Amino acid sequence: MRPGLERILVRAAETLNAEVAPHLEGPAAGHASMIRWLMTASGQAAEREPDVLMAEIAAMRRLFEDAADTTLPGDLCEQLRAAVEGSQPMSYSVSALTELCNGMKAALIVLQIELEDISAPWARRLEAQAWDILRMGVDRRKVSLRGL
Amino acid sequence: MLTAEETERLGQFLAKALHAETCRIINVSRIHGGASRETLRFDAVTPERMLGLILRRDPPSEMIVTERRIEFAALRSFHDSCRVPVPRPIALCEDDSVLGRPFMVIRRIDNAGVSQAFTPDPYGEHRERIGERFFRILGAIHAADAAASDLAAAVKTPSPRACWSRELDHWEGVIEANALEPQPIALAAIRRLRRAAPPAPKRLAIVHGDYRTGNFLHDSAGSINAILDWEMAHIGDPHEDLAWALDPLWAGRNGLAAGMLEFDHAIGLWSEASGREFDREAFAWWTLFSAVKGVAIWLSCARRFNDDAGAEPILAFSGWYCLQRHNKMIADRLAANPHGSLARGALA
Repeated sequence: MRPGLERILVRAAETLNAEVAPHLEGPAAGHASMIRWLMTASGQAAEREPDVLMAEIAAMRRLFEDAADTTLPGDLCEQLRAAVEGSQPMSYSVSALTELCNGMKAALIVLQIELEDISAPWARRLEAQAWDILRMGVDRRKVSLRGL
Repeated sequence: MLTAEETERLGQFLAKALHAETCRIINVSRIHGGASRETLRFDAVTPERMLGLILRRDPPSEMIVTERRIEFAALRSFHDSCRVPVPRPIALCEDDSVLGRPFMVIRRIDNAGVSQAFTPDPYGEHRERIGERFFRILGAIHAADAAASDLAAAVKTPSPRACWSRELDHWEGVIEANALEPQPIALAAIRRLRRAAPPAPKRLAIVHGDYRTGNFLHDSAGSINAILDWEMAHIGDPHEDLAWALDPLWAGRNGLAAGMLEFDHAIGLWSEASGREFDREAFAWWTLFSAVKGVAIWLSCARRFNDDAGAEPILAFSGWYCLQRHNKMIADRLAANPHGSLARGALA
């Protein structure tokens, strides 16, 4: 079994930092520092991105199902139902999941715009649900400056 | 770098600008570190003297579309000021005839350096002194007579009531042009900003546009030698600069204003130096705007890295780490307060 992607990238970044960067000067040293951070962050992302994307897709599917049962304008409810129907991944590659997730985020933007103009409690609840999804996506993809 | 022909043409161009018979260009080297313009250092030798100079040239495809004459005019607005230190502007070329792309030449300031924005504790024992100078200089920029400045001749001056919408329209356009995927967080923030227009400034100001840690030269002994990177300068609400300077992205790990001072102290120094009152409501609006502007800039970095095979790693870093930070700031703020006053929960 080969080492995990995160392990490979983090170890390569450590080698870059400990054994290559000290021999560099000027802009090359700056590039090495940035590349080290990018490799570490890429390693973390390679491990967790499919999981985050699946969680986002599932959460948006639930939100759209709830929203489609409300008194939102009819065509929007139809759009949301269509987004739910098309939300089953055909592939679990990161690019395929990202494309699926981005399609749902485009529908989420349309939903947010409608909800912001409605002051009824159900609309505010759905709006809060949308923000929870967006915050979850940002928080679960968090990368730090450690390693820079 | 410059080809032999470009070096020759630059010498001829500078001879004219410096009113010298001849001008020889020597010691050319590239300065790395910025994500936008190509920056070269060199010496210009005329029969009378040798000048240390900096040349800033547009990259082949520019990240944020700016005009050279704006940065040059902003520098000219302050080059005689004793309160706002800037590199002396020498010459501007707005066409492609000399170096294939527009460029400007400014005096080099030796024995001073830039601390990168994400270096931990970049100013060490001089942190407080530099911080005080940093916010006093910002106040001095905002105290200047914007209408009488060189910058006013180079840019359109908005009405005080329209300066927020002009800036928001501009950065919304940058997001639209550069986003590689849907941006629900930034778009929600833009809608929120449009629903809650800020109070108009009592008096318009010269706005630097990118006033932050990492954009000034200091001597490592507590003095700021020059404010740099005026390419986004315009005339508008001074709270725009204040909010950008105080953005948490630049605060480092200590949580201080710009990583250097307590917030109240920083704002007090700015207010005293600018002769302006701090408007909490305006500031709250501009802090959210700053995060949107940040998203726009970082998306343009990501786009350039994505599209340009030769792009530097800092573009990927900016389009990842910085974008994530500003998206989080917006999401946390609007999730906690989706419809109330923007001043609720804002910084300061």
